[in-house]
Amino acid sequence: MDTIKEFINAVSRPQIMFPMIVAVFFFVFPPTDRMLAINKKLRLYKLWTKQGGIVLFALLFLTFAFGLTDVNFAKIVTKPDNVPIVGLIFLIVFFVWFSMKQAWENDARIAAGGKPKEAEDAKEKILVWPDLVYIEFIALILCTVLLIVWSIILNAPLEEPANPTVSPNPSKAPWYFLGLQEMLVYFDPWIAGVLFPTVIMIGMMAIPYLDTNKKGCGYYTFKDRKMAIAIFMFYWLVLWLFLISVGTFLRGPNWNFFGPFEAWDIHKLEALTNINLSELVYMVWLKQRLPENILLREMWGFAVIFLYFGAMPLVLAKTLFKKVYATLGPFRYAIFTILLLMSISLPIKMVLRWLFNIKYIVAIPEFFFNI
Amino acid sequence: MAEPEERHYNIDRLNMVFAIASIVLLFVLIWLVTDDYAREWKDYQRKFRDLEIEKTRVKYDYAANELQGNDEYKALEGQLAEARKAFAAGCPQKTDAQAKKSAAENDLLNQKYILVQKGKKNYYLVKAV
Repeated sequence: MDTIKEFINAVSRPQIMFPMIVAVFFFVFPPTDRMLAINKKLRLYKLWTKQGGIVLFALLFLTFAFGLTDVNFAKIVTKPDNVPIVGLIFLIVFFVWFSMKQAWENDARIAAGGKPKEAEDAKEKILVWPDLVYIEFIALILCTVLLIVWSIILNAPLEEPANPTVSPNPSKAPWYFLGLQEMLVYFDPWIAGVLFPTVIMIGMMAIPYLDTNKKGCGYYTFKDRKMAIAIFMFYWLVLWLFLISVGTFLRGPNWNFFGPFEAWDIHKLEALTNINLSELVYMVWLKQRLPENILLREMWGFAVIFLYFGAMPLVLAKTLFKKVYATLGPFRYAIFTILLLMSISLPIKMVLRWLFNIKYIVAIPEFFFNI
Repeated sequence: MAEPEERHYNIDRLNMVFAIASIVLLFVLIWLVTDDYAREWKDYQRKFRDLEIEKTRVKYDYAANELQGNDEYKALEGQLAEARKAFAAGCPQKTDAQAKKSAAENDLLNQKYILVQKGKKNYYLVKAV
């Protein structure tokens, strides 16, 4: 049993878990036809059937049941602060499964020459009272019962009065900000705390203007909107909810990473071996000291940033995003790629940190400007 | 009542679910109030109050006993009793009519006082009267 736990602890280190999740993700939500063919070959789409759902939920329940036998796991998971996040995991799995099931069913109907199920539903009209209001009222009562029972059983996680000389360790943001807090590990505060949230909001507002594809309007489908669904699910599930779960369950004292079955040792030592790109270039590769001049020192980093944001959209327009460029036109394509590249910079930065120990691409601590 | 076939859901079943949900809500609300009332610290609070009363009573008894044994206190009590007797003997006995009259005079004075106070808009004093 301990060997299994140690194995899970080892596997859940972000260096291993994140690439694994990304790899599996694009087979489960294939963005291209080629990936879809592999998905079908591996029969992964069976996940979105009743049997698949049962297996999915059985696995989820078994994982938690097995985990709760461990003292450390139980301590973290049953903490009143964290209980809603456990609920969130089950709800998200259920609703993703449910919507994907409907999407695949519709795809099968359309492939067979029929219309999506929603087309039939649209013909049927039902009364607001009693059909809608009554079930809403019952749902309201049941939710009230749930909230009251919850508040009786679990005490509010109130702590002692705040003391400016004693900061809690770990200091955690509210759960919905844990994704942002996790980003702070990889980016400077001005990027992770100001620029990214702004860009995320603007990006979300821009979606309806960037994506004017009429397919999938008013009905669930996957085949018609593979790329859009895969991109959305990647951000929603991997870069948002996964990071929230990591921040909740796997980040312990000093914001160190702890496996699910690992005790939160406040004295755990992490070797700080991260270096900046300039240090890598000058000190490791060129075997010389860093130049005094800031611009000379950071020119490699600026070159990388320029190539990434300046040249990459042009290269992509000629290669991978040829079709996208044709449909969107230059202006919307520019906005789309810049948003996409910015958001992809998060997983890129994570991987750089884990695999190459790179801290900043451009590091000018003299002016608090680090990228 | 509308025709049953117009309904999307089985209304009898919904009624059943609604009834069960309501009963559950009722019990949960009762549970809520009892749980809120039966705080674990309330027992300690009750015990603390009892102990406090007990302690004060002991202190009071001790002080009272001490006073009773004090010679000066005894002498003072004797003086007081004598003074009362002398006072009662010196007072003229009032007839019923006299008593009534003086009570009426008192009332009148009180009412006048109330009116004066109202004029000052000092309601607190009026209420105290």
